[in-house]
Amino acid sequence: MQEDSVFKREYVLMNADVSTKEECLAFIAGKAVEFGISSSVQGTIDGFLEREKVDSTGFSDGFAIPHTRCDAILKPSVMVVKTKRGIDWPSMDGEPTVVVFALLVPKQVGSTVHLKLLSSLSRKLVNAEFQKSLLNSCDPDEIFGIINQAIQS
Amino acid sequence: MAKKLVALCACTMGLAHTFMAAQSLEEAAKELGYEVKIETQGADGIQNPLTPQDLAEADIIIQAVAITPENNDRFDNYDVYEIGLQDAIKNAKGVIKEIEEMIAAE
Repeated sequence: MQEDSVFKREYVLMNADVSTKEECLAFIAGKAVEFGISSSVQGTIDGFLEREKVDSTGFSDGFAIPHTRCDAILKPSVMVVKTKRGIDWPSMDGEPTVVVFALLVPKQVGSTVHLKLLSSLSRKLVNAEFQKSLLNSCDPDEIFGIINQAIQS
Repeated sequence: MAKKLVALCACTMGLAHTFMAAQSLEEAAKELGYEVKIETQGADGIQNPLTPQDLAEADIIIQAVAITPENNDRFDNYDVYEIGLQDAIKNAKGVIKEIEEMIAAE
């Protein structure tokens, strides 16, 4: 795996002990700084929340896809969080959110290569089989494999 | 000749919903027997742009947008069905069927 890869095994975070959207975004932002994806926890949280203000990024069937393109982000990345309990994001179908895909993109991007990887993942997200395989898996290695394949294809 | 459906998808940030809507519309349109072409205007720029010929040939033209798209004057002389990105993502098939009914009722 290349060093500048948009997705790494460590970006899969299982059993996140968070109860609200705000807690979840703060958790992601903290990890993003730890992983060198972001330079600022607060900047990342603010970026996510700015987007959530437009409308909720909660999707259906337990998925949410918060995203930000802001100055704090250092490299295009996707992080995946499975939460310990369902969160009221809110979602399109009212179901609680358990799988969170966070897309993090710097304000300035040199090339669109990484953005294309993220867009192919977004396309995959509407696929029922893809959703089911992620919802059913509790194995972070398996989840990493499923998503990595979706990004590469 | 197959019926043709073309659409343009663009959300505010161009990272997620643009592509989710495009994929949902594409799958639903194919299932309903359409030849389909979908332009996305996202963070990665304009992909798969709709040409004047695409628009002239289309039986259904859809815009699922949250912003004013680039080169919007292409659509000036056509009936364009504007739908929400969320509707496109969660109910693409239903939306296309509704449009079919509207066209049939004309």
